[in-house]
Amino acid sequence: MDFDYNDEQKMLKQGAREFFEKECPKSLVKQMMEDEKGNPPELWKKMAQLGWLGLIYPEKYGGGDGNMIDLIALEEEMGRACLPGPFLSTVLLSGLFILHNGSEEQKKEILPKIAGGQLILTLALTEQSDSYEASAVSVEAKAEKDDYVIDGTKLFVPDAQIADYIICIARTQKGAKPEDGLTAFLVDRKTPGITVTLLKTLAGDKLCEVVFNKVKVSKKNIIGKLDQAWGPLQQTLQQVKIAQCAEMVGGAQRALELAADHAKKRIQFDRPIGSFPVIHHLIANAMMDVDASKFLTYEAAWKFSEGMPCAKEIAMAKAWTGEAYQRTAAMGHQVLGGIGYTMDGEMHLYFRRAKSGELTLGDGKFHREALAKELGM
Amino acid sequence: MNMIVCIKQVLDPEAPLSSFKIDPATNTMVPVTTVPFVISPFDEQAVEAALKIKDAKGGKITVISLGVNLLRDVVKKPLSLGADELILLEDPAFVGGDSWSTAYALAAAIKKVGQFDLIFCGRQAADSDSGQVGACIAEILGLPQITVAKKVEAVDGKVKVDKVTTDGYEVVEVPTPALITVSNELGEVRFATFKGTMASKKKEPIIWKPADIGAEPSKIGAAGRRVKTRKLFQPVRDSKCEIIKGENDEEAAANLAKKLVEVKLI
Repeated sequence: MDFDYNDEQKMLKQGAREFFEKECPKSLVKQMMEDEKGNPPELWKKMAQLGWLGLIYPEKYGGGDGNMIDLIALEEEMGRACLPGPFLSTVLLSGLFILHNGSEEQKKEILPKIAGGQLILTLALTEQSDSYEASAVSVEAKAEKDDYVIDGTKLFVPDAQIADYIICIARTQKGAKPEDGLTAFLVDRKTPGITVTLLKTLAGDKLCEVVFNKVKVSKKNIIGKLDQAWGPLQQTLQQVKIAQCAEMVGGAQRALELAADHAKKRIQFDRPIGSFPVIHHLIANAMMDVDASKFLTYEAAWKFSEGMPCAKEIAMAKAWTGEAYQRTAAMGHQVLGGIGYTMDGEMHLYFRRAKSGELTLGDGKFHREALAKELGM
Repeated sequence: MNMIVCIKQVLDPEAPLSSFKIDPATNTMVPVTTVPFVISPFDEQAVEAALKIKDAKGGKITVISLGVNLLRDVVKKPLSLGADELILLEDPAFVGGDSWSTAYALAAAIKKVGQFDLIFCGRQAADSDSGQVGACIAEILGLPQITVAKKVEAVDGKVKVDKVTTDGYEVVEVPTPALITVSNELGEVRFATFKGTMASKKKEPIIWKPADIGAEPSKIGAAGRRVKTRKLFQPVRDSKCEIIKGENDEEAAANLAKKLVEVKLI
């Protein structure tokens, strides 16, 4: 059994680490937390040039033909760097949804532009309840000649403030089950009737309220099949959750390293605080959390890339990693003491992102329920 | 243009000093497991210099490295950046050498490669900092060498080099074949693209043993060592902190100035 990356994936990971250390220092991360756009354009352009924005897409759509394991190797480093910007919303949520469900024309038109860093997209799914259940989708789209008219409010839409297009999941029919009658529309953000308001968030990530006020969208802009978006959307979300777990693993690993380094250097009572058993236990517990997160994520990624059923593994990885990351960052604050709470430090970045990561795409409770369902309960 | 670049795998020189320990009994460094291996940063600059020439004029880049247990994800990095071939002199017999025995083995490998116009080395390795291997290779092969280059261009069958000096740089030309050692002043090195990284999977390194390069066993590795290490140690840096006081900030600052004058720091 070998859960290690291969040589090329290790090279990708190490290269990404060096790139982000140079191009995405923590000063930039902090600056982007305050910045309305939250996406440094030069950094985005350079990532596109390195082929990272298209890594997971096929070559014929401007991508790199990479697999899920390649993606998580890169994602770990993004998490370590606390990378700001719309990678999750554009490359993963939107790009993968289009890749798996879009028409050939849509794929050829959009994916090369995402890979080239020329288009920003996002997915508008959640609403007031922030639930990822189909029953939570109330925004409606009504047919009107060759168009649909979308009406309603989406909440917590990532990076909508800079998106060129929004993929809006709307109810086109009331079916027997909440999962029926949902459709995905590709909407130009500049269409009249759309209002985007940036929300204040804990981690400085850019979540928005997007109001659709009688927004007209052509029927040609439907992605996938009318009334049948939910199933395909869930498949995309499953894949994105693995990537997001890897991002959290990278962040947690760095939080652990920061705490362990500090414990070795910080002298109190004439010796490093790392010599005290209480610190040993804090660090050891965190390491168990990080390694468990890592291997749950790797297993889910491996099964996904092999085309094996992995709903249980994804649910376990997401539930565990989101909470383990928080425990690790909280431990980091305990070990670092006062310095851990200063804005000049880094630990608060990981703590904030841990909370944000836990909630994005469903929290621990949501995924425990998902796991129980998979177990037939 | 056919270019050869010599690279060395070293422990990450950015690792904290506390990671490294010396065994005074054997005058050697205690092996560490917590510090990752990287390509010596000056050697990365050497690779970059070769890649720049390949970008401008085309050509082939062959990378050579020497050691044992060379990590493939470390030494294959130049392949991910655009180098064409990787040769590893990988055998326990190559280990424990000094600059001369290392250069002897590298020169023998370069002779076996055959056709070359330029050889690039880093100005010095980031671990031993000797800065002699490049010069020794040039001596063994009877080549002209230019050290501490910050810019290298291929011009009309010659090579034009901006060579760093203590007060600036001088521009020199050299006919090929020649050896050039490259300094950090060359500038930033490139990052590998995803496609470049994945393409390196198809380029498996060529492994050469001492017999493959016709090296005399008595001249390589520890057997060929001419330098004897008398003492290896970490210098102890002692620091004391004194808080300069005063009734107010102005007085404390004045007292600090007085103290600095007293100890002849200003």
